Amino acid sequence: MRIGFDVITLGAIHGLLYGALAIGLVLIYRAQRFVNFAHANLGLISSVLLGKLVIDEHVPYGVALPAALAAGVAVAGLVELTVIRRLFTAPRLVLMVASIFLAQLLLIPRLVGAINADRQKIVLQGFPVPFHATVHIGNLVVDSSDLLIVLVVPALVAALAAFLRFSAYGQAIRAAAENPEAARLAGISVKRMSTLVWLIAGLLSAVTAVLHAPSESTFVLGGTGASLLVRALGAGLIAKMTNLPVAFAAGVGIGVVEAITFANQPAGSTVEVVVFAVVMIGLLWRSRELSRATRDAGAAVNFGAEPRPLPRRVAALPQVRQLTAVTVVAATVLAAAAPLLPFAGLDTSAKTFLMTLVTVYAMVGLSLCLLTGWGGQVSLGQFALVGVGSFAAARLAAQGLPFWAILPVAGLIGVAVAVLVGLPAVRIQGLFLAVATMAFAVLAYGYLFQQPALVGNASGEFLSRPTVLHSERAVYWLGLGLVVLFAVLIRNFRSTAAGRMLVAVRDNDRAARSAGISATGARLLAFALSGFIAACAGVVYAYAQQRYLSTNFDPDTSFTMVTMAVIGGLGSIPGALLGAVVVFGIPILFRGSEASQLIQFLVGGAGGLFVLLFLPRGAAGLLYDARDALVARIVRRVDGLPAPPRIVPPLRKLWHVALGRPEPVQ
Amino acid sequence: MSPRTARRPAAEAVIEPATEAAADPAPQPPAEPVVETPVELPERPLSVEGLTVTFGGVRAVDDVWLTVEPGETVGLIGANGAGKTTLMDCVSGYVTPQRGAIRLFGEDVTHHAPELRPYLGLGRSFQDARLYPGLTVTETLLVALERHAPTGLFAGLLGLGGTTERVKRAAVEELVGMTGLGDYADSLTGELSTGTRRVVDIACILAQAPSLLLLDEPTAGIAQRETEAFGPLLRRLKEQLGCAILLIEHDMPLIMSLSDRVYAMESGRVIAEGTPAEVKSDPRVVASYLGSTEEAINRSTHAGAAR
Repeated sequence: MRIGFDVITLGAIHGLLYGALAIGLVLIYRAQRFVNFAHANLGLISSVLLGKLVIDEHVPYGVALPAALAAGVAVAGLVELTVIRRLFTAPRLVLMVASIFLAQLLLIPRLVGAINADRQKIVLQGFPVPFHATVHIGNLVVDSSDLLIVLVVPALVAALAAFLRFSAYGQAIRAAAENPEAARLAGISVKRMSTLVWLIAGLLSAVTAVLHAPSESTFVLGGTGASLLVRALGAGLIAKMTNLPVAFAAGVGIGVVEAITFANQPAGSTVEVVVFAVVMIGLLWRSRELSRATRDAGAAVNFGAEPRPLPRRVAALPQVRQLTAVTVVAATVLAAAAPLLPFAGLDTSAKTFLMTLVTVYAMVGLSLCLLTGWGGQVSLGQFALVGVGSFAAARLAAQGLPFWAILPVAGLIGVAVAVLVGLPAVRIQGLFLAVATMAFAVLAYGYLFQQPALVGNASGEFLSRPTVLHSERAVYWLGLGLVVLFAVLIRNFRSTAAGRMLVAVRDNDRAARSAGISATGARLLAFALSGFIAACAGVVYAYAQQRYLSTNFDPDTSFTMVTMAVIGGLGSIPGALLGAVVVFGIPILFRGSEASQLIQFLVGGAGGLFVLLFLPRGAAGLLYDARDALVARIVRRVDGLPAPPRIVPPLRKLWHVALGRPEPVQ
Repeated sequence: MSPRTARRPAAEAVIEPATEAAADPAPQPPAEPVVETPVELPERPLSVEGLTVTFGGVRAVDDVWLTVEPGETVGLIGANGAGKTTLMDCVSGYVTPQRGAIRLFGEDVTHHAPELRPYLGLGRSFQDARLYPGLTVTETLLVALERHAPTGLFAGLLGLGGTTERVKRAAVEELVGMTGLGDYADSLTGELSTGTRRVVDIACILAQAPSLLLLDEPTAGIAQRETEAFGPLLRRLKEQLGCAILLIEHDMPLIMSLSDRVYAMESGRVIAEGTPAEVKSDPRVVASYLGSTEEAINRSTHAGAAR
């Protein structure tokens, strides 16, 4: 084992960055009791702008840096004012989901060509640094980007510590975090302190991004933000998400451990395993403090898109039953006929392929409906489970398993993996369970899906289609058939004893346990079932793609899955399907052939935030409002039964507000 | 896995009350004729033996000995922070004691998970009566019936246990009719008013039909008039179920009139135990809880008489 002075020093230097990020995470957690998944991306705009200004516009570093940092700080302030303030009293899990949307939205600066530096020039010149110097101490070689970290980060952290400890604002921030009510009574504006905390976090994130950019080998999108975030989260968790000095020290420690691992195992990506282990150890070690801190904040949350059940006598009306049946049949027939329609090129194989992907996303949506909607457990690793299904399919096919057997066997492998992922749910819930699932997503992307023993070929997996699936349409119909099957199955599941126990545990786990229900059992069952569905989606994905890599299953896509589910409406089956159609299906009508990531992040991030802020029940909410309105008409016409209470759809209300018209009188 | 093996026979032993209420024609699981009615249970419903719980350095419960006899109502009084709720959380299983033992109907449950205890006959109603906002009233009652016919998550998933499900649904129909919740059967619990939700909570107790019921401040946050109605209601509930009750309550006249015996706690210790009259006149209880002078007690009895 190689543990040299040079290894440790370089590790510690990188660890300084993790520590700085961890401080920002902990500050926001202390102030608002949620894990900010957008934290690493807050300052992304700073590194993008700095590159552009120095490389393309030839602005001196000393001028460009303040401007770039100011942009990062301004973005953080804007986020606080527009999103966080509006969700001040929302359940913490909702805030966390909002930060996931923000994380996607904040990736956009990297995708807009006009504000990014010329790619070629970055590769040739390297990311700008203010000076060029190299220090040699024995084996140790410290280059200018590392020197910059050593010079900047400790000074910045020391200044921050002094500010928090000695200045009146710092004390007010700490007071507002410790006890918001008492602080308010003492005349401290908790909201203004929240803005201040976000500005500080934005600065930390911007500085980290600027310092981290020179050492990034490539400017590849996806994965970078999540893997940085996981390291910072590991440090924060070790510090119980409260102790700033410990968080900073733990960040440095993680950097050292990472460097030692890398020095001894340079070939594999064993580093990711070590980081995963650090996060899980931090979570389980601190589970008692962490779950106590989030208990009042609500461990699980009802996202509220579940339909309000119709009164029994109304639901029994033949017209109402027909309404449902006709809608379901019409939607299914339309979906089945879609690849035959000579409309917007849907009948071409290129677009049929894209529609097959929509069925994959719809299945993931159904799995999240069950796990997050009914079980209340946010999973940020759902697309990694799809990857498990995809790679399992290729392995099984290589073993000579026939096509019809691959699906259930891959599904069962998905169950096993999902239960392992959900195992921390025995001890932790809510925010921190989501952290555990994200750690799994990063592990799967960075390590598991690159192990030759597990995925066969490192240059990509190949799965040849059986004869029945030779056309794109056949694969599409397979996907659609599975979507319908799973939709029916989980709908039935919800009305069984197990389904209602799941919701009972979500809503009030103490009462449910006192009624004799095993909360752990219910949670693991939810993970198991959602794992089965996601892995089956992975099989369809594999047959659609035929050739795929670990990069197809990056953590950002798992984030997008949550976005899609929230846009559709979590907890509702039509919502799960609508989410996939709105986010991935409708763009097909307007696009050429390949999905643009920019549009995806814009629709996902902005759409998700819009839904959280203005349409908390998602697209499904509109659907149910329409249903209630129709049913009310039917009931009035049929036999004058009292109509179910009707709510003005929030969107229409918003419309009226936007146009400055008075709201309609009910 | 001793908790698992303990689960089945216990579930069968306590099956009678609610299935009687259901009065359905469907085949019953053959209950072993161990006990006829809960009143004749040979075992003491609850005995707490030398229980000690520490949080950090604080002794929340300190060497507490307490019993509840069959059919008895036992009151637990004490100022805030005296350790009453911690004690109840130990009995429910949410807090594991550092020392001491808890026996439910003779069985040592000190280290059993909370979800195993209902199968021995333990029921608990929560202070907030929050229930399950995302479930309908019917579903909520079905959940409460779980201990009589545990479906098992996987059996329920596969649609097995169809008969038990039908039996349970019939029982719930009857309960809904009995408690006048008919109009709300398909409403979400979260949409009900607090008052209606308390009725659902009571219906849940009826459905669960525990042999030992833990009530944590059942009148917290409800109007004075409803508090007065609560005494007779609790007596009727107890008559119907034949259960023993452990009750935490801050309303002195109510708890003194309902309880057969009262324990008074202070800083985690039991400082007095006996009939309501004895405890009320115990000098230590007067000093620590009821107030330092005779006037305080008179005022509280006064208030009771005025009602």
